[in-house]
Amino acid sequence: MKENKEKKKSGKEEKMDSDVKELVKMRLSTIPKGLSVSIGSWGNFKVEDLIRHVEMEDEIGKSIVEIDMEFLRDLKNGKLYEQIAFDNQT
Amino acid sequence: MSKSLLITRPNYEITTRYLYVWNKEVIKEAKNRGIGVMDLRREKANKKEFTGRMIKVNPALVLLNGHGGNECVRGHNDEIIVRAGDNEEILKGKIIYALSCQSALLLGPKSMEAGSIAFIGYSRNFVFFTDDSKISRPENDKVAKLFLDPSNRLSISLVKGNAIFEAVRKSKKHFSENIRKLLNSDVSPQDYSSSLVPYLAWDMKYQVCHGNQNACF
Repeated sequence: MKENKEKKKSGKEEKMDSDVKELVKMRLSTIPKGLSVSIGSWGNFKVEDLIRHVEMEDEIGKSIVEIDMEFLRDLKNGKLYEQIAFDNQT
Repeated sequence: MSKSLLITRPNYEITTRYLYVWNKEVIKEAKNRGIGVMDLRREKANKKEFTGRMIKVNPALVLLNGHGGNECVRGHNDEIIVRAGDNEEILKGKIIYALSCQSALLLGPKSMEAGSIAFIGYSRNFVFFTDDSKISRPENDKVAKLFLDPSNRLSISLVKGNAIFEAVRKSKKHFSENIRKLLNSDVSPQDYSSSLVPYLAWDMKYQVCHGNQNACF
């Protein structure tokens, strides 16, 4: 029973990951064509490459997902607005 | 200590080319102010040259540009020029700004232990977008400007003799202004897409400073 619950839980988590992946891929597709991004020592990537890396879930893809999801969290919890307002006041 | 600064500007691929070009503005500002500039550019951005100049010139301000990791900053062709646990003591008594990924994570604290005045850097990867049509003229790249100009504000503020906290504040304010600019839908979508905001917010968030924030160059 416990095992089943864990399986369900793990299945749910997997689905969430997949949702996150799709969300990030969709958001990446809104970046204008003709732009590339430099990510540290990993190099320079075109947006299409980033989508592929997210799909593959490699280190580069995970990094992009982290950047985008952290932004959405900071937007939701107001941290980003706090930072912008603070920087604007000081 | 002499009023001089040392800057490393490797230039061997797209990322370092952009940092190389964008830092010309910082060098120009320093020279206009009569500050001695030791410019370790291209092949000169190597460990031997860096070590020699740091000892001989003893600059108060060190601007490191290039790839990095949590424990090191690299020079031309990825040669490590300073690494925690190896030669971080060379940063003793200096103010350091490293436009280099993750350098503030381990190298920053280690350089403080070795006696640096302050270490400003990034605790995660520094990311920036570029316009493919401007790769041969990075200085005209408005997309890259969104990311690299806030970094330049920091370096230039330090060069002007502002306190470190002020330089960091100016840089973060510039990041914030660019974020607000991107969120304004009236501007050209090609140059200023709001889809770039997460990446600006990331750089702003992970720019960190260790050490005495009241110190000045």
